Amino acid sequence: MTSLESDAASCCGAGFTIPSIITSDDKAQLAGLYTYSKIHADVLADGKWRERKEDDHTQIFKLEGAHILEDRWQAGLSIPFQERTRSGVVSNQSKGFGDVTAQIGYEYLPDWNYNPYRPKGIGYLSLIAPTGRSINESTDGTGIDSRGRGFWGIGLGTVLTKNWRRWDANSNFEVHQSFNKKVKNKRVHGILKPGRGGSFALGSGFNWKSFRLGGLINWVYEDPIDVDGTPASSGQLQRYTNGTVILSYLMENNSTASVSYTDQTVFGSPSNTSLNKSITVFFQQRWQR
Amino acid sequence: MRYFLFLIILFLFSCAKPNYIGPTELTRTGNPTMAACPFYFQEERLCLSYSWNQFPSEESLGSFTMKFYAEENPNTYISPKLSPSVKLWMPSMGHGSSPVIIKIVSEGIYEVTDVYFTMLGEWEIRFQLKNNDEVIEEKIQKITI
Repeated sequence: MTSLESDAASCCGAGFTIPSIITSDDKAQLAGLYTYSKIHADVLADGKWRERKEDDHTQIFKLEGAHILEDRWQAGLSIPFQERTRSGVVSNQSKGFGDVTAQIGYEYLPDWNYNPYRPKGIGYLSLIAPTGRSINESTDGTGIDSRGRGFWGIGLGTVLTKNWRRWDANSNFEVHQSFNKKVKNKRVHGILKPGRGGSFALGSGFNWKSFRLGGLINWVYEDPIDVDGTPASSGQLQRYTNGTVILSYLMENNSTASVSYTDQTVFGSPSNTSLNKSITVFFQQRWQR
Repeated sequence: MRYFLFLIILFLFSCAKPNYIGPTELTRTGNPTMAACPFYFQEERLCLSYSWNQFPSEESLGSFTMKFYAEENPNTYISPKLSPSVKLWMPSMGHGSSPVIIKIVSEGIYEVTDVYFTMLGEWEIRFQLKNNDEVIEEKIQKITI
């Protein structure tokens, strides 16, 4: 019943989404998520905050699936569809796919003998497709139709989970490399260099009957995005922290319903980012081996 | 080792400390300089000054006026031979904003409208002289929105 999730930074979908991973002993899982996310503030590179007065919100409909391939191997796919709306002097709306993520995982640390201390460990390799265009490819330059990071990328990570009677704990650590991209339009003519990034998540939950109440903190870092061309530009690193509380209900038919609240204004020392507050409704169906 | 781990945990789980700044503090930054020649374009041997007609806000688009002149004669405006262009750029995030509209008002004087910054933060107004799509010379005004 463990659930890991990561919200994207609002500006440009800069976050690296953790794809669907089977952490239980099931054969397959399929999840549908709905997220309503609103920008609360912008944080400058020097750490100063500006409260966002105009409404800028995003609705994300995401389908996540994962299936066991062979014993300890698994594969998964995460497909987000987003609708972003902005009010104010240049009000606009856009709909379309965010960045699609595929991953392959391997259970390198199985928990066959229910060791009281050793966690279950799953390593994964992710591929991110830039189906949600970057802000530099925005058709009108306002960025409203930027629904992803917009770079090809690969990531390497590990999920660790452990249960002790009514308590459980989970963590996720991943690093990723985003690849350079050539862009040529009226605003940018050159190579965008996004660099590397990483995230570390730590969560815990308490299970009571069919309910689970959990918390998760996810620290996210992204290298600066430099531009080699016109205009030549050196970026600043981006940093933010997601704090999430999640309430889940385990149903009898091997499915789970959850509602979670994520706030990027509570923890950490954010820099060069927009901070969201979001609520997610989640339904997951699992199939046993 | 125990204290080191404790410090790491304390650091990781520390609460954010919002350091809000208000709009009045911001509009004072990035104002045009009053120097005799705020931006000098070597290629055309022309100075450029600009002044806001309407500072951009959440309620309205911004506009400003650009004036080109020779350094020794600041009251006579001269249009550059190359095409003047303005680009809004957010260097920290590595992206621009929507294009502005530039109209010539009279010899050497241009009005720049539809100035819009897609998000709050530190921006650059890049004043450019272009030959077709090629930027020949560029001067940068930093501004915080």
